[in-house]
Amino acid sequence: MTLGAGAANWSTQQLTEMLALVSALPASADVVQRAVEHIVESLETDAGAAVSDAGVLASVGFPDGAIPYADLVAAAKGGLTELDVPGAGRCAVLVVPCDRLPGGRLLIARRQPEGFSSEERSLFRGFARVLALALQARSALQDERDLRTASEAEARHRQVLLDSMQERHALLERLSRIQRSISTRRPLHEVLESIVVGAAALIGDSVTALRMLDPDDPDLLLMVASHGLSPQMQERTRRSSVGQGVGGTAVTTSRLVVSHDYAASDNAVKVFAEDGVTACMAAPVFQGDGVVGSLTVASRVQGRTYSRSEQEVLLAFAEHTGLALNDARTVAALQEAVSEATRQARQDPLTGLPNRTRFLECLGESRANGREVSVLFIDLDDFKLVNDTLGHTIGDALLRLVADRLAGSVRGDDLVARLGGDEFAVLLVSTPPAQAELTAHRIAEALSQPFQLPGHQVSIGASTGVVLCSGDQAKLLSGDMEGHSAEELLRDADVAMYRAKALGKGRAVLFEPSMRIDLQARSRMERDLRKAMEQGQLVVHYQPIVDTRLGKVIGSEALLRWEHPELGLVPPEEFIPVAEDTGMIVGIGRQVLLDAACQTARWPGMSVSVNVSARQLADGLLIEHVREALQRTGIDPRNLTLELTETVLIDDIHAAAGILAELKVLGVRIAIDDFGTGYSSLSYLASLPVDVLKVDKKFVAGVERGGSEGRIAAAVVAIARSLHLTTITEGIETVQQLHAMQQLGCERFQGYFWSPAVPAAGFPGVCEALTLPAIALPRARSAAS
Amino acid sequence: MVFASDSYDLSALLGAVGEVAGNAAVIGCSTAGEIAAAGVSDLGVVVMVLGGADFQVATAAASVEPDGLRAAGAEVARAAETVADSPYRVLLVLSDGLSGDQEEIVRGAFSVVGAQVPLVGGCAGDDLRMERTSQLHGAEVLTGSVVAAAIGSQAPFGLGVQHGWRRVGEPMVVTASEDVRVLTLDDEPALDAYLRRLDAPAEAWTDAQAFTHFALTHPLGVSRRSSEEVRMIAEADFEERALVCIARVPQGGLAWIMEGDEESVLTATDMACNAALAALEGRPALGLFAFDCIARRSVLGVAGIQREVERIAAHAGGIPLGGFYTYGEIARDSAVGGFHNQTLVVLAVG
Repeated sequence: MTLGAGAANWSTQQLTEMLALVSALPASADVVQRAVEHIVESLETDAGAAVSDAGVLASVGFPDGAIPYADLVAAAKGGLTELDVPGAGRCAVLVVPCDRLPGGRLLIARRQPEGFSSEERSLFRGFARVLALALQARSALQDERDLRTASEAEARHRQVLLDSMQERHALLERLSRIQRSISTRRPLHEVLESIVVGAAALIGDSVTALRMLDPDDPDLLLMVASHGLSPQMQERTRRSSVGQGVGGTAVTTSRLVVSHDYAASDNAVKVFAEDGVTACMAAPVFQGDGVVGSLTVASRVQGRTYSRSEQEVLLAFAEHTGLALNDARTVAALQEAVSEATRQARQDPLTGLPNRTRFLECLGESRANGREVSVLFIDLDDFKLVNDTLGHTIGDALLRLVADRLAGSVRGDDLVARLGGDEFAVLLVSTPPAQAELTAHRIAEALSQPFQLPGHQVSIGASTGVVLCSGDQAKLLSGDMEGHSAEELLRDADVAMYRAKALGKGRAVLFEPSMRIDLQARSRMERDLRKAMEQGQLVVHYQPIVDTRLGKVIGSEALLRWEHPELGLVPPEEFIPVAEDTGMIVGIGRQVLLDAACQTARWPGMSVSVNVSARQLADGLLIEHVREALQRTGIDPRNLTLELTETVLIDDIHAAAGILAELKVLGVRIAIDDFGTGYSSLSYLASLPVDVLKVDKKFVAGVERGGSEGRIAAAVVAIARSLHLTTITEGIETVQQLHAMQQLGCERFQGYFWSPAVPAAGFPGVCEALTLPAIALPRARSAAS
Repeated sequence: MVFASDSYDLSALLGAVGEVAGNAAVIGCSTAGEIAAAGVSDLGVVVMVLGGADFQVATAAASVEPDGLRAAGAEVARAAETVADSPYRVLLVLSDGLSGDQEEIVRGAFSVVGAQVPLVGGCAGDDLRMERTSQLHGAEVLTGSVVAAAIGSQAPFGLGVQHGWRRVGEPMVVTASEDVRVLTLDDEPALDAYLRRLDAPAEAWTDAQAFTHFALTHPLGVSRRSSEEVRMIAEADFEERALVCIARVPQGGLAWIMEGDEESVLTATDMACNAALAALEGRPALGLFAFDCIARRSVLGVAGIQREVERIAAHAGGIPLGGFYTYGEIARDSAVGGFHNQTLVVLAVG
């Protein structure tokens, strides 16, 4: 896609020429008169004039002494659409505003019937903009002159003059570059880049974006070029609604939009605010008489404000951009580029599959047509492990293979889309429910087969949520204002997938309305949990850890409990995931660390284990929270053990290794919880600074029966021994289990056999009761834990 | 109207003209070749006389001060007021093309007469020495001046403007220019960019005279709304590696190298004549004025230039024809910009 020679790009040249002209004029020149002359010559009109509240400022084309002042003022105000120009007869009049003159208007007149083309209208507006820019610079100079009283003011004056000249020179240079890139047939992306880079350089800001209206959807803007945005940000902000944000508002209002305190402004877009944007302004881009897009500049510098001069420069630059893009061949290339951007905006670039937007569009269309639809929401199991251990290149290759297999598992009429990350969706149209379920199983089967990747064979699986929606339902539901939109259907499928995942990997689960209720219950729980945090309903209980060789309690595991005023004790497996998902776990985790360290400080010789979640590990505050707990309570760091599950570690093994290393510097101990239930990779175990392996209770339960679980327990203990790690066996409930594990060489245990987790106040009493004989002998088992 | 080679003692020449013409108003200028119905002359004199009850004439002269081009143009244009009673008017302007941006003269004149009075004329020559030109007013021989005759008539005037040049190759962006000086093209020193693009002969790279001759047939073209305008390159600045043109080449615009051949130039000649005659609204022409760029002589050669003038004479059909080879042409009415280069301007008097 390249652009043609600049032959058609006459307007751009004219505007650049005018800018060069007004930039080169000496301060004494009558810039308004010269501008009007240039406009009249350039557009080959019969007459032209500049009019303000003060009257006619300049006119061209009328004989000296016969300038029709009253008619010019009337025409400028819109009162006359035609003017008599001596020698030219009746002339059509075109008027544009010129901001820098109070009540300022420029007008041109051309003999009938020729009139004005839309390109000429655009150019005329551009001329007015350039004149405003020149007047702005001059008014700054004048202000300076008025203030001038002393010699240092003289120097300042020269500086202002220099600055304004440099400013205009810089603008001119940037415009020339754009022109050159068009005239020398540069590819469109280079032209667009010269625009966004040029705007950034002119205004001195780090971020610029050029957005154009989507030809297929006039309510959408597509970002066709940007500067200073990460690829992720580009992807996230590629499409936006007209009217959304500063750039979108410039399109709807056809005016410059300036936002100085961006985050607090009504126009702020969350992702940009989060990206550090502090100030932002956008100018409309015109083609012909209409707005076709916007040019936005943004800053990440605190306290950034845009001067009047900078605003004028952006407006002039945007005006020029519109003209540059108006070039016939540029328009063609641009339309192609916008179509490409549209296509991209509906297509996942990695797999070539339709993306979420396209999927939702198709789903919406099918439902609107009353078709029977089924939606499959597919989430890959263990994809992150592949990505983290084998690298992103392999991960990407795997996603492409998954896309191929999915496409091969459905009919030609069905739609496979990638929603993002490792999530895919399938839309089955006019497929009976039974057939849809079969397809879900076929997909599960296809994805469970090993994938052959360069140098690796990888096995993953997928969890699938399925939503069925009959045609009648679709009709019914499409009118349902409470929302069973395409988004709602996809969300239901997501909920079902979530349930499938919870039930174990590789499953497909059919959505049921009760799941949505579960979702509501979940959001209610979230609300309650926040209240619980505020009202101190979350408490820490302590389960003793005993050493049978020493015959005493050596420490405890701190376990979180929620004492709900109405529901009683809420099981951790119900509320911990909610706390994880919402991020509340970070604050809760900090409190648990503090409480546990504080209590342990009161129990001499005792150690304490505290569970750390994935969210805490990823949050970046964990090390600070641990340091805080140690400092506040003064406990020996060796008496604090942090327990992490292997799943948590595996999620991002490199990041985890770094954090664990820092924790080790603080002197705390690290335990791996539930070892043997996940990947149980020896290599990572050996590479991490781990002190303790905990043997999961699910192996303990099998150890007395023998069989595979017992053998795993034996293997875990053997691994721990070979790596010189301490083992702690969880979930001992019977003396048989205890003896079996003791025979494997284990010495440290916890479980109901001795005591459930108890409130802090009861813990010393429990320890006292668990003297040597009590450790050896089973206690009465408690039903409550 | 007197158009004469400056090889004459122009003062004496005006004296002789005055003896014959009596009280008739006289304007004129030195030339780079003269045009008459009989053909082209070098080192010659052409005198056109206009008279009769239907004509009113007023003349004016103004000296061009530095930065005073516009004022000088305005000053001579006031002569048009004297003939304001005539239904048709034209302002014939002869200026010194070596005295700066001639567009400013046109702008100054236009600011006084507006669209009402077409402007026509040319820049005086000095047989291509490019040193000093003369403007004639009454009995005075002036230099660095502008002279004008406002002609009022009961019949219309017709104006034809054509150049016959066409673009060659890709455009270049005028990345730096100061009025008539083109400093860089596509960010490269303009002289080097220009000569290299044209694969110019070795002597044009070093010899001023050779360059001027070479450049006559390779002007620059700039885009206008309805046409391309041609910019004659008068000289090379070998030190600054710049091109010096006869009219402003705006910075930021695009420029093309132009080419022409005998056929295109002669076609333009026909078109200019036809346009001028057609504008007379069906009335017969009383006479034709031709202001022809010196560069067109270079394209056409000695034989070609004779053919061109024969064609103009054929269009004139026996009526008087007078004009000269110029250093820049003036023609401004509703359809054309004002100052031109490498162009033929024809004025038909109805």
